[in-house]
Amino acid sequence: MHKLLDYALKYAEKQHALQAEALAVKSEVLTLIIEKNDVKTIEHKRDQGLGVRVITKKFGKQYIGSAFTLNLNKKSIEEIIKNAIQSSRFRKIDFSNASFPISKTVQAIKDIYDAKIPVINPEQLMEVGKLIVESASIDEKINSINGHLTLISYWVYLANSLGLQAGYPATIYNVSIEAIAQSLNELYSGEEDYISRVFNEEKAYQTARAAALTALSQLNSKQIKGEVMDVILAPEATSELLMHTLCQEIKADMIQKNQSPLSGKINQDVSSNLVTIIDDGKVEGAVGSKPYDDEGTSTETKTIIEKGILKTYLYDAFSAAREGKKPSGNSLRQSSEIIRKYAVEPQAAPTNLIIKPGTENFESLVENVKKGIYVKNVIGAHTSNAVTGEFSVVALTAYKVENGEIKFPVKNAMIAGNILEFLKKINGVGKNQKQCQSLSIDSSIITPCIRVKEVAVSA
Amino acid sequence: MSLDLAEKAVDYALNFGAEYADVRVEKIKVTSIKYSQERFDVASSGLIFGVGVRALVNGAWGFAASSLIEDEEENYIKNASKLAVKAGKAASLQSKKETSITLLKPIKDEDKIVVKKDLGSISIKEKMEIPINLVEATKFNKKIVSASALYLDECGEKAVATSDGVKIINELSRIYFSVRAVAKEGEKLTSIHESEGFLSGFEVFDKIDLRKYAIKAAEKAVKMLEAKPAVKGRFKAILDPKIAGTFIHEAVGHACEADYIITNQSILCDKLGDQIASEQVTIYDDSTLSGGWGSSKYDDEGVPTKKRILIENGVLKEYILNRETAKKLGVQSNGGARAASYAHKPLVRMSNSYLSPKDFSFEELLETVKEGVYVKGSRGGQVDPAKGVFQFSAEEAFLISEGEIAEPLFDVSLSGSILETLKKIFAIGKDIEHHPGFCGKNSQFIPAGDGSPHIAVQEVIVGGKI
Repeated sequence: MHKLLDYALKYAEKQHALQAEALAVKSEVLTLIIEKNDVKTIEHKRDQGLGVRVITKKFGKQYIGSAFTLNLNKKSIEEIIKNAIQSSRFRKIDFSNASFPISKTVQAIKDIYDAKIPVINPEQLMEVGKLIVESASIDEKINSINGHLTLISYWVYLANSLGLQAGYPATIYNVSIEAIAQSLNELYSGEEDYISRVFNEEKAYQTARAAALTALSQLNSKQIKGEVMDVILAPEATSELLMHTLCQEIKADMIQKNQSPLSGKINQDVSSNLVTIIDDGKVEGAVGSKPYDDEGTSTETKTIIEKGILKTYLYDAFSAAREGKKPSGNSLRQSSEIIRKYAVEPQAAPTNLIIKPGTENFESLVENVKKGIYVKNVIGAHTSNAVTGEFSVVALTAYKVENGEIKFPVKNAMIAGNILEFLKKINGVGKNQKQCQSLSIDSSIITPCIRVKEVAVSA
Repeated sequence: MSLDLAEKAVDYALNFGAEYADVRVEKIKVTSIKYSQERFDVASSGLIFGVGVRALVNGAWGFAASSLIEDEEENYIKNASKLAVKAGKAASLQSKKETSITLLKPIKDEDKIVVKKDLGSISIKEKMEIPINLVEATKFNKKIVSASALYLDECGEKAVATSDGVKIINELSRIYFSVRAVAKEGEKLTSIHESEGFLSGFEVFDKIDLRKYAIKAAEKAVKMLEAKPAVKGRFKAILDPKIAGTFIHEAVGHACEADYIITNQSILCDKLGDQIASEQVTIYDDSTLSGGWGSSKYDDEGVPTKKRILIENGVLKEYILNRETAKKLGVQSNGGARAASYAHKPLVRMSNSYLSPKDFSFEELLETVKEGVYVKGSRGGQVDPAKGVFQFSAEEAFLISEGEIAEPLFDVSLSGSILETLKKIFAIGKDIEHHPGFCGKNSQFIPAGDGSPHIAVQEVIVGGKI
């Protein structure tokens, strides 16, 4: 593959590009799909593609262009390089001396590739599928089990005209199960997910069983009346909310365009002092970990919010150069499917966004709530306004908490607010973290439960 | 050439042991451009070339997809067919082996699209002027503080071949653009977007006035600066073609998708032949709509598409079907299988869903409603097709007072029960509009149009922000 990247870079030079960058991703994805208690379909996808970027120069100004192809022959590569150069004509870079990162040796990283994943075959997967259905069939009220188990192996190859030449293999294991419980004519759904870099059969069964238990725990859920109360958010709900709000608001380009409520707030209090949030691209086994980012800058660990105080934003090479800073290893070609990673232009984004664990176990988080709800999953966070920080979500799975005890399941509760006010009202952080999928398939949010006081909950 | 490859893949799949196979080969050029704050966030084009093979083996599906390389296609095609059959065989080991499909008589056809300016030969530089022009055209009013615009296109061909003798080439040429204007006064921010889509070549820009869309968005955003908070409660309402179209698509169309019917996830299960809406209501999902954003002559299983009558004079008539759900329900597929790309397997999807117009003019609707709210545009929302409830947030809203449009309202959301709302539609306008959109299902996003005239509803629940 590096031969092809090299060909692309040479051809770009021939076409008078000042600099060029080529990133290829080769991937293999095996998915088992469960519908209505039946392991119905297996999908097997193989894909390869190349994304190129060029920096061109005209009358002393620099321009940037981009294009991609799946058709990895020389003719097609030449065509997209011409297209990338075309696309640069109108796209002036608004600062001087823009450059792709200069080659450096980077430290290898542990446990992002599980050699078992590429060799698991469809027959073995079917056995697991059968046991997933059995694991969730724990009660006659469970009438439907749906979901998927996905095994991804991929190889990233990256080169640029400044001498960078690098590559790494990685794997992702993802199980997502929904169980539906029926009682009389009402349906109650329970969803559980598990992601990791490493295959673990047992986790699939645990996830399935947990989904069934969640569905059963929702039986006879009741509406509650709207009022201000404490809210405990499970890691799933926390990450869903953060990926559409905070994760967008800490990107340097959003700050530079004045499109983030965190603009100008470095070294200011932006959340409760119980909150420390880091971005760490080197956590062992996390799906956002990689030796270097999608431009070739080494990933690193950085503190974004330290005990409530905003410390830094996230930078790719371009947003960093605009401020005369170093990139923070956060350039990401953000795609929900690995097979289209090379097709998306890179931008600054979290790798693994981590909320540092606090001291409280789940029981003690609940114990201190007089009146509130515990929210496991939310939907609708994608409608959040990242510019203002305002959000409004529906609690898909939630439970009423009264006088320190979980009382009954709640249906159709809505939570609305502003993410910054929300962060300031956090008055409890759990100690057990869970890794959850973030917006891009190769990024994560690792968080414990959090407790937020005085939240407007409506029915 | 794509069709030859697809036919070969079908043969390979049968040789490897499939009892049925369908194959899609796509060779497409795509462009995406996003422009905001005087800067291009995205300006990229791409060449997509790939195959998707679906194989039915012993009552279970195997699906394989692969990107393709020119001059080496044969090898990749063969491998994809092998993987699909292998996956199907494995699936059948544990599966209930219940999957079967309806079969067709052989068809050979080309669905050609005639364009004057081929999107594939227009340079991206020329396309980048579209979003720039859209953004520039919003700047006639000082209250407009920012604007952004999007341009997307795709062109090329998609071949479908099946083992029951379907051989089809679908030519594609599709353009979408949108503009968003943000207005500000004091602390108050409003934002409105307008979008448009065409199945056409680049010549469409010789015919339309781009500025019209930008000016409309900007004028609306400025108007909404005067809006007062919405009063919550139950109101008579007029819905404009956009939010009515969203209601038809999200609340009715999805509930008619037969996969949800079979898995008991739709409120319209077992309701064929029932009066589920007021007699005025006739709703179609029409893949054959001329120039329709979601139109195609054949679906992604090679089935000829048609105009589906979902609801006729209030009676539920038809579900949207693919080959598999049709077989389960003992009927023929009506061509409702669509896939987001060669790398995705076809699902039951809408094409162009719309409410059929009647005879009320807008003034007559206002007169009939007299006191209530006029709700326009949609910012999205949520529908639970199993529980039958919906909630949409509007872009614009006005009070209706004494049969006239009065003051603007902000943060208006509509909610209610789908079935109750369908029964409460009491007057339907004659002014149908169709709008392009992208519909998501199981993470597959496809172009789907929705349409409606203005409609009057006896009662909706108006709430604040959702």
